[in-house]
Amino acid sequence: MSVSESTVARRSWTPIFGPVWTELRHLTYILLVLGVGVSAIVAIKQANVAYPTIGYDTGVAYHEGEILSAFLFLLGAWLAMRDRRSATTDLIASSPTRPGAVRATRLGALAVAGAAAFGLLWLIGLVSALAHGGSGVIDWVLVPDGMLGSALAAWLGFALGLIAPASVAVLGAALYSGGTYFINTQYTHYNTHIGFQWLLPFPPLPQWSADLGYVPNIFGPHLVFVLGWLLLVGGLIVAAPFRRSLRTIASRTALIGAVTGLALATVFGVQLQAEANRYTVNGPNPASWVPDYGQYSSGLSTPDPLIYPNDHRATTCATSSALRVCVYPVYGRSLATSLVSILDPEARAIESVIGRPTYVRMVPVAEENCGAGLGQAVLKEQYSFSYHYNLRGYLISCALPQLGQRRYAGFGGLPHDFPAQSAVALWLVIRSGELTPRAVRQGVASGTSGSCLADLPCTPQYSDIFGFGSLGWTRAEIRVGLAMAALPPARVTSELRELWPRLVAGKLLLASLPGYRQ
Amino acid sequence: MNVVFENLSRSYGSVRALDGIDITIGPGITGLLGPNGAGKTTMLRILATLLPPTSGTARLDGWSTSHDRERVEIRRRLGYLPQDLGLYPRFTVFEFVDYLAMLKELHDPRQRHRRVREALEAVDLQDVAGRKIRTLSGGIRRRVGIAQAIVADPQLLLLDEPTGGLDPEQRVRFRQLVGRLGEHRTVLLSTHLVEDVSAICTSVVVLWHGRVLFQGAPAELRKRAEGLVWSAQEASSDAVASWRTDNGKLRVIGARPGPSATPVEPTLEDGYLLVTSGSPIR
Repeated sequence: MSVSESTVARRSWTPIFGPVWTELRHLTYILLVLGVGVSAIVAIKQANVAYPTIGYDTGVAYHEGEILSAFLFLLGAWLAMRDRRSATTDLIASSPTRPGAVRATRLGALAVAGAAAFGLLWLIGLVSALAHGGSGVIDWVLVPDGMLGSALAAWLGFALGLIAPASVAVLGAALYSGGTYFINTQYTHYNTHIGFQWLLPFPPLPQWSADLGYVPNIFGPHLVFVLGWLLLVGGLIVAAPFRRSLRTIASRTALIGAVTGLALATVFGVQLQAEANRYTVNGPNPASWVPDYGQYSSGLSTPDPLIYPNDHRATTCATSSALRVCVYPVYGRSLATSLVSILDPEARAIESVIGRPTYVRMVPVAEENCGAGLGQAVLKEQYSFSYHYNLRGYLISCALPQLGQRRYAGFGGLPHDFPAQSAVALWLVIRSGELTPRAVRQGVASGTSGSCLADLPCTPQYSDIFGFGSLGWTRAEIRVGLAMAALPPARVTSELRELWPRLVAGKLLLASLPGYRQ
Repeated sequence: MNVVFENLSRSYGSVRALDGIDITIGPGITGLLGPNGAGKTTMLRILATLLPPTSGTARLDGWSTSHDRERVEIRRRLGYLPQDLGLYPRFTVFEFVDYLAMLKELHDPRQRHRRVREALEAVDLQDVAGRKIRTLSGGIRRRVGIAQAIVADPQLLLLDEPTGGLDPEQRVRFRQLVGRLGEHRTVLLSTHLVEDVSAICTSVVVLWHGRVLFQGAPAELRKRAEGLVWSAQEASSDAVASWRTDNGKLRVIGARPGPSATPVEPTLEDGYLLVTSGSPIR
């Protein structure tokens, strides 16, 4: 036979499914089992909350995809190194199947394994939510997005494994997972305005609502963004062996895939980056948001100085004589009732205060703040719902806006000196029963100053609400607060009513308060 | 199927592993004989399309190893057992051979599985088909390597030091197997064991420092030593080689060591030693 008699070259790209299946059977080993196991354990632990929802539990499972990714990264690297480590490179290279096709089958197997592993993790999250009595809707978009993110981790590991030794691959997996974890939890947690977090394969969970899903919902562009990365990485991996023969259909296809992937990742990456500032919310039109009174940053994602308007979605309510609390229906009435029982003592203590919040509604974003004297307070969804601890002093801080401002000023903010409000706050805390005059006096006598009066108020939450460090109560404020507590409540209430406009405006002097001269 | 080397050279830096090889190898079993470093493995790797020549060409029925498309055609007709055979330890024997069969473009599962079973039977591995490769001994692994090499019924079979690590019984069985395989194929068998060549090869190529010292039938190589192999009490200083045999006398290759020396029938090994000695006797 001569060259001219050569049979028409059989296409070596078509039959990749057999090898994919063979590879796949051998990928379901320890790394994959460990990856799903560890991430599922963490997810179940994280999702073990008092008021479970399907959305949150599956969302946590999705988020733990970053743990799974480390194992998938290693799995990819292991598969890439297998021929080298088992000295089968020559056997594979002397077969008529082109190296690019062999790589494509392996990428296919890794993609299927990664997607299946993520699917299993997500399913565990769903089963966990149902087993805990969770309700709500399923955020289906997390499934394909997580599958793509998992496949990407495996492919990146494969790419590294092709060029690096095992030790570097292990380091790469640690850096990949640790890096995304760091950006996710440590960096973007406090810098979400930059939008960088959306570029992660698994974006952070805090900006998620059981009622609205992700806020903003980035998953349209995020899916395409991750898909772009997959095309880019996969295209380069497959095209690399063709570098000396880039005229074949296969090499061109791979290169076109890589270029398309680069374009998609760039375009949609830029779009994602802009999401944080654009702040597309599934709820009310941002144009309708109510200006807040302060200049402080209101937390993770609220575009200050706006607060989330009433979108009438928090419709499951519980009431007391002093307060009405409404939460998203998915959490159930028990949460609303629980919140009322936590907030009611404080609500009754400030019953006579002008402008006090009587309506607390759940919102998907923003820290707790009070709604600018609208008689409302907003309550951000907290999936762990440890409100028993966090909400002490919340309504009091709502009633005294500048005092509330102090908590957000923080160490880097400007100190606001409103001694009259501080003294009134102390009086209200004593009235609510959280703190006794005796405990305050003991604190003063023992030399404890500021917010660390006695044992109870020294909790971080109290410090958070009533000031930081030196911004806590001064001795003068404490003296006046205690004097007010010693007076008949009706008298203080009556006198404060006239002083209130000046008090909340921050223009009232400490000396003007009832009890100052006693 | 003919294998043609035309002025083939291959260098590794300043080391010339192959130096102007110009030979044609036809059907049958050809033994590549030579000491370590003679260039046998380099020659096979070039033919297996794993290594480009520095200059010259290697062709298989007209297809050159230097052209991308033609390389694929050569690979389609190739079975290769490398010297440093590696296998996937977690695969079973069947899975591994089946996987390689897929890469060798045997796509129909039923036909492929039949071929895999036949290949395993040919090397007498049908009983361990379901065992993980990591549990197998070195000899059995070698047979797995042969099975993968023959699974696609190649027209050209390249076997690089195939009997290394085999015990005598396995070696005999291997020779029988290769003998059968060589009936309808071109087989290139690289070895430094003369007895392998002597047992099964229809032709032999002797390589020495990258050059071909001899090409022909084993009988011709043996014939080179005719009249130059002696049984003697003492060796002469200009003997090509000499060693004491089990009858207490020396076997001497070279000029007659003395009047008492008696001529003996030469073996292939004698011919090989004579050829590779560079002796001007022949």
